[in-house]
Amino acid sequence: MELRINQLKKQYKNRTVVDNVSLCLSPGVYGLLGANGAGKTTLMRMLCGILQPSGGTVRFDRYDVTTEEYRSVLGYLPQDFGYYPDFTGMDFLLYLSALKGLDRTQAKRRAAELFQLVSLEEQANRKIKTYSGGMKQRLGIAQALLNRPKLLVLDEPTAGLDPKERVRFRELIAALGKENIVLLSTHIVSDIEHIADIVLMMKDGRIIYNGAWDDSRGDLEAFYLSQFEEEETQ
Amino acid sequence: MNVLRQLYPYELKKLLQTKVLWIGTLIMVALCILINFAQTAENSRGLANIKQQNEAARALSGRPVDEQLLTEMKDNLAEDQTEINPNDPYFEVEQFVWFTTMSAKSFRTIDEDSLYQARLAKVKSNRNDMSLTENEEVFWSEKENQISTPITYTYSKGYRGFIMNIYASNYILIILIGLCLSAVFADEYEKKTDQLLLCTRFGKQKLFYAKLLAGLTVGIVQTILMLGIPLAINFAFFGTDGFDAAIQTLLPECSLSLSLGNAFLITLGVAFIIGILYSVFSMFLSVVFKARAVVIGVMVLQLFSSQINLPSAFRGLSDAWNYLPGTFLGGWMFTECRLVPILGHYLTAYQAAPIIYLVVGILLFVFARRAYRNWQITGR
Amino acid sequence: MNQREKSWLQQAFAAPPPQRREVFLRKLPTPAIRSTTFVFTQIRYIRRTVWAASTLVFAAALLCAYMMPEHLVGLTSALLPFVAVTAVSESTRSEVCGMSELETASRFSRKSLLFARLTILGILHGILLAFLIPLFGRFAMLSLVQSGTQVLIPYLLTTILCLHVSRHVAGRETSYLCTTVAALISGSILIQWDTPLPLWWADAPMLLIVLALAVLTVLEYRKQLTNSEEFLWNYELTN
Repeated sequence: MELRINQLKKQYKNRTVVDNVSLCLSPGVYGLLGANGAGKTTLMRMLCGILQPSGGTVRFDRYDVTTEEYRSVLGYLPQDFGYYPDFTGMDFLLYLSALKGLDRTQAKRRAAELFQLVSLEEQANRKIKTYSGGMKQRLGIAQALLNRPKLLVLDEPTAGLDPKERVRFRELIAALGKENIVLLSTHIVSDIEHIADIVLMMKDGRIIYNGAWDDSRGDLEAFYLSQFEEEETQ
Repeated sequence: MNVLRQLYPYELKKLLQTKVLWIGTLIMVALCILINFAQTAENSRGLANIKQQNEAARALSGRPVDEQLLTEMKDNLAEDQTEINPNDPYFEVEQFVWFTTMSAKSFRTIDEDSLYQARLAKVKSNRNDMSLTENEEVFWSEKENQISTPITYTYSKGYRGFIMNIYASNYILIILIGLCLSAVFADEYEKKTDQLLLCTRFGKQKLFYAKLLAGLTVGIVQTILMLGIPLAINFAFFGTDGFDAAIQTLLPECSLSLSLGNAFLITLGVAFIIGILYSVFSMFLSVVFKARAVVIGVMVLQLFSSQINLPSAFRGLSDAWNYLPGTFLGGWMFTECRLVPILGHYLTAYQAAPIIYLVVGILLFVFARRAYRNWQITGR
Repeated sequence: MNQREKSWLQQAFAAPPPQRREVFLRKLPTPAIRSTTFVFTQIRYIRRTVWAASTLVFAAALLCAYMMPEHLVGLTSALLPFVAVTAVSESTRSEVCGMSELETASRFSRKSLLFARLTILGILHGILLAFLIPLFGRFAMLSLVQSGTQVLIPYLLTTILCLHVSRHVAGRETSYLCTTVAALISGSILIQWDTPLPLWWADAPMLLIVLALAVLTVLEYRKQLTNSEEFLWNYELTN
């Protein structure tokens, strides 16, 4: 199981947002760190096939990003996503299950499982417009996991979650990362510190650091800031 | 297929959950009913008189509009009568004379010869206004030779009423379908749910078809509703007699050998195709512009433009303008003399229009599908 | 001391460094701004689409009057709902763009801001409507009451419904729903124009309708201004 990103590029007129990124990701948790405007969301969108790159390729095993097979193993949680206000939480998950290719029986079972996982069992049959921001975010996490994705792309997944939910989420990601590829981007360094096996740092569309991280290496935030200072002095 | 069956109910649910659809439909249904009642009441000078008028018209049914009938009509007129009156026993004959001569006073002095001469003059004038080519003139002359006079009057008020008043339903459909289907694709963009949908397995292809089907379902139901209302009202008041009535009893300048019943069916069919075209067009705009307000704006603009007639002198432009669905539907599609040459044959307007609309509909579908497949998540 | 002497002194002596500058600046009285000045400064912040819509209707009415007088009343009346929507959209722009919280917390209250913008738009649209009424009378041969009702009913009805919608719906959905309301009213005018619906009731009932709509419009705008006194949409914080 491998995600190969080769010379991936995204250019808008005279601005390069993602600049020839090449990565090879195998099962594990990858934390993507970067300032606002670094190109994280653009990179993630290209990995999900919802934004066409200006150049380069993305392949999961032998499946190109444009194929149905690629999308069938993908789970994506966008940074800022919408919902259908008059759908209940259950309707929402069942609808997305249908889109992900689950049959109805499977979908109901899986949805019930996920509602329990994200602690939304009691809100499952309430309309999404009555949900708080944190509940919506948890619903978003649930939908990303519907098809038991082998590739999970999460853009700012802990935004809106309270500390207790954030801890639960980290545990979930850590468990998923054992057998699947999880790529998550965040501004919250502590999220990555605790769960990421590999840290990817992005600046001005380029990956400036790609390496493992553990406690013995010290404070990630300080390291992150130092990387940016080094870049500047260079 | 199984996936479509799963996704279709959700897409339909999304559409049916919008309050705009229900409120808009209710308002337009009320307007349609009101307009059709008002038209009927105006034409009959009051709904209470309809039964009596129908009986008088049925009594004349089957009689040729010849010298004898015209004399009876003139003898029945009051001495000081200066305009035709729906309550006159010979009103149908008076109306036919008026339609043919377009002269308010001629019903007092008309005879068989001058009536049919006036009809021929009207036919010629209609063709002259349209700047016909030589081939078109020949075509219509041959058609005209098949019309035998005197024309037999047949009671057919139900069909006539429907054909002449269908334009109101057409206008209503432009707005209603635009309002209801603007959200099919644009909503996903505006609600930011497109990111979730496009990255799923079936989000890029099957979902498009599911949405299209759901949109077409809503469009077709609304079309049936807006056609059903004038149909129900006209047939309830006037009955379904007179399927075989000559179209010339309604449109004297028409040179087609067509019955009113067939004209009614053609109108119904064209209206249905137009409803489908509006649905496809609205969804096309929705996927291309990703903004509900733009779709509504374009449909309102279409309604505005259907109020304007281009002079026939601008042959090419006015041809195209007259085929716009907003302007096309109505009795005038049977009096349009400009023909459409297709593969060596000439098609009349009512024959060519459905083909044109179907072709345009297919093209819109193809472009919409392409636009959907190229849908990108940017700028957010 | 004249300017030249001042200049010599400045060149001869260095000015001492400022002391307790921040304290001094804070003590300076905040200059008052006249209401009329405040209102006029808001003109630049009214979107171009608002001006464009009114200009378009003005031009369309003139064009119709000279080229298609038979369509003048129908087409122009059908355009007025969209003019009304531009005015309502100005009053709801803060909520739609998520600026209401910032504006409520600023020096000039959102209420005065709204009032200023509505004053400007009221004048603009008042001129437009006042222009249209005699135009209808001259080219469509309508009486003053008939012209007035043809102009005012679509405008006022759209305004009332759109303001009502904007108080019950948040965010960008407001723009869409207001456009829908305008489209429905505009469409209804055009659709029934060629049909014999009773447009020309007697003057008295039509005048009563216009008066009732005018009163409702004032009440709706009053509610809008009252609502702008405090930040109401709490769920925006969690949305």
